[in-house]
Formats: sequence, C-alpha cells, structure tokens
Amino acid sequence: MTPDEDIEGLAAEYVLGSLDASERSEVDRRRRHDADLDAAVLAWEKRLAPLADRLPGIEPPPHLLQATLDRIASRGSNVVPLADAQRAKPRARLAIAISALAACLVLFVSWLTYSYVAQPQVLVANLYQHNADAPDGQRTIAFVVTVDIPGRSILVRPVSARARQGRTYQLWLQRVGATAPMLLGAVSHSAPVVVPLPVGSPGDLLNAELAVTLEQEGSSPSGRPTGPVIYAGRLAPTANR
Amino acid sequence: MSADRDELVRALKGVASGDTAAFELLYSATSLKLYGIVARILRQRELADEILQEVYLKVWQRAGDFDAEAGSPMTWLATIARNRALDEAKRKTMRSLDDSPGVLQIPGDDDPRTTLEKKETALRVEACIDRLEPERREIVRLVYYYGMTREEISQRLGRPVSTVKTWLRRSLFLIKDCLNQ
Repeated sequence: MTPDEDIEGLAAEYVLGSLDASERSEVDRRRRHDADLDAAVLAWEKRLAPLADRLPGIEPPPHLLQATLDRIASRGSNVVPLADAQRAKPRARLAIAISALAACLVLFVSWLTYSYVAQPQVLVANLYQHNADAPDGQRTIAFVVTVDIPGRSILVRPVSARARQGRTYQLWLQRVGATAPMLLGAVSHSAPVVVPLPVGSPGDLLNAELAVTLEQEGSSPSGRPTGPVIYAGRLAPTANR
Repeated sequence: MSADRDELVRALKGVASGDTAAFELLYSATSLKLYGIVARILRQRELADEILQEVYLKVWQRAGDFDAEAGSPMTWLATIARNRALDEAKRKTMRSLDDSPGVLQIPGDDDPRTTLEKKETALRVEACIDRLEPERREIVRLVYYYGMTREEISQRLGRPVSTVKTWLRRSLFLIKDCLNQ
C-alpha cells in the first residue's frame, strides 16, 4: 500500500467510524500537522455526509435544552441573557420575540409529540418458548426483537431458535385491544432480519404481544397464523429490560 | 421545526456572538437529527442525553469556526455529533455485541426538511453502496450508522479482523470511484 493509499484509507475509515479508540486518537493528533490527512478526512466527511441526512431523527427528551443552557451558563462563558438581549434595538427585539415564540411553539409541539408517543421510541421484546413453565429469568431467549419507531423498522435477531426442516418461522404482532394478530413477516433462526413497522399508533405497541409461529414453507396463505405459537414475548421500553 | 440552510447559518452566527435565543433556535431546528445520530451510535439513552449536551456545548464554543463557504451547517453539526458519539462509543467497553443490530433498515427519505438536492445526493451514495457485495454493503452501513468497530464486525461475521479491514478499505475506495464517475 502506498503512503497516499494509507492516508486515504485511514481517513476513510476514520470518517466511516470503524477505527478503534487509539486509532481515532492517533488520527486526531496527526491531523494537526499532516495537511494531507486533514484534507482527506474533510473530503471523506463531505462524501459520506449525505448518509446522515437520510437518517430518521429521534426526539430528544424535552429537558435537554434547558440542561444544556444551564451548563453553558454555569461555565460563565459569554452568554447573553435573554433579558439583556431584549434591550437590543427594536428590530432586533422583534426578531428575538419571533424567534422565542417559534422556539416555544416548537417546544410545545415537541412536548405534545413526546406525550403522545410515550417515549422511549425504541421498544424491545425477548421472545421465549411459548407455554414454558420456568419464569422469564430462567428461560432461554429465542429471539430479541427491537422496534425502532422513528426508523419504522423491526429488527429480529435470533439467539437460540432452532431450525425446523421444511417449515418457516413467521412473526406476528398482536396490538393491545386488537381482535386479530398482524403478520409482520418471515424470520430466520440463523440470521437477523429487518421487517417494516406497520402503520399504526405507536402507543398501541407498548405491551403489545409478539409471537412466532411455525408455518409451512412459504407463508401463511390466509393472512392468519395456521401453525402453533412457538415463541412469544411482550414489547417494553428498553429501560425496563 | 423547518429550517433552511440560510436560517441555520444565521443562527450559527448568532450563537458565535453569544446569543442564547439563536442557540435555542438552532437546537430546536437540529436536535431531532443530531439526537438520532448520537442515540443510534451509543444505544443507551442516558449516555446519548449526556453526549448530545456535550455536542451542543461544543457548538456553543465553536460556532465561530463554522465556514458557510466550506459546507452546509447541517453537515458541520452532524460531523461534530458523529465524532463525539464515535469517540465515546469506542472508549466504552460496555457495549456488548448483543446490542448491535444485525442488518440495517435503510433510512426513509420522507423528512420534509430534506431538500430534493440532498435526497438526490444521498441516493447517489446509497446507489454506490448498493453496488458492493451484500456482506460488504451491510458492514459499511453498520459502521456508519451504528459505529461498529472492525473487531465487532469480525466477531459478527466470523472473519479475521485483517479481512474486515481489507474489505472496508476496498469498499470505501469503490464508493469513492463510483461517486467520481
């Protein structure tokens, strides 16, 4: 590998995020006096930045803004208190008032969204052998299901599910209060699978039951489970796991 | 909150002069995106909360460094957030492989704040990634969105770390060539 390729590869991996802590520190240190490396990092940041643009956002907890402002104020930096700012010129004062109103509106809407969605916005369910006698803590987890509500996706990771010859596993969602389960898709005993999160109220997902049934190869033709429930579990916030 | 590039540039200028109202506007306009970046890499809400605050503290201190001629304000902010989250994630040993996602849902592009130009640019990068072999395509996305290390990928795929490094670098060079076409 030539020195140029080495710099280019190092910069690319730094921006992608695959370097370990010591390698990242080394790049940070080298960038201060290695113009080529610094330029390569900046070029890669520009190249890959569009990927971050497409990433769905996640609403931060509402208290974080005030917490950040408190930290800024406590550092004694050159914060201009709002009261001082409001003594500025009339035009600036109007702009600040509009800005403050907009910020309040955003906070209010954020609060409404926060209340409605009932954070956290990531829910997890451990799926265990259905009808097994042992309590959850002593049973083997077969699948771990992670629901990313802002990302509208469900990640199903197999942990100890067994292969079944000529049969497939299918994942079903039984929302609280729903009369019938909804088919989410086929899942694998050996590889993680992502299925889309169906449209619906996120609030209905908390405590919703997930079940994995054993179906004939292919899919359940009726849209209803035809095979037995093998594994099941309930969705809960990640903090409660 | 919808904020275009010019509004963000103005807000950053205000922040650079110590204007807290501008800071609040900037936070309101960008925290959804930045928290999404940080939370996915760190995967722990409390840690993500802490790091997001540190990111905005850094923005408060360094807003004057932003150069509107050199790039977009959102890219500048996202880079600060990603780097801070990655530094923290790499330092922590608490992240277990079980916390890592297996495959990635390609993010949707229905965010009304995403301009058509940005969507097209993002689609170009995605198209270049899609040209890679499936396994390599997956690891590029896992690293970018979730900050997985070569060692984590090595364990996950059952391949030597040296192989993962080679794959990553080759994949990145292919992406670069593709984008240059």
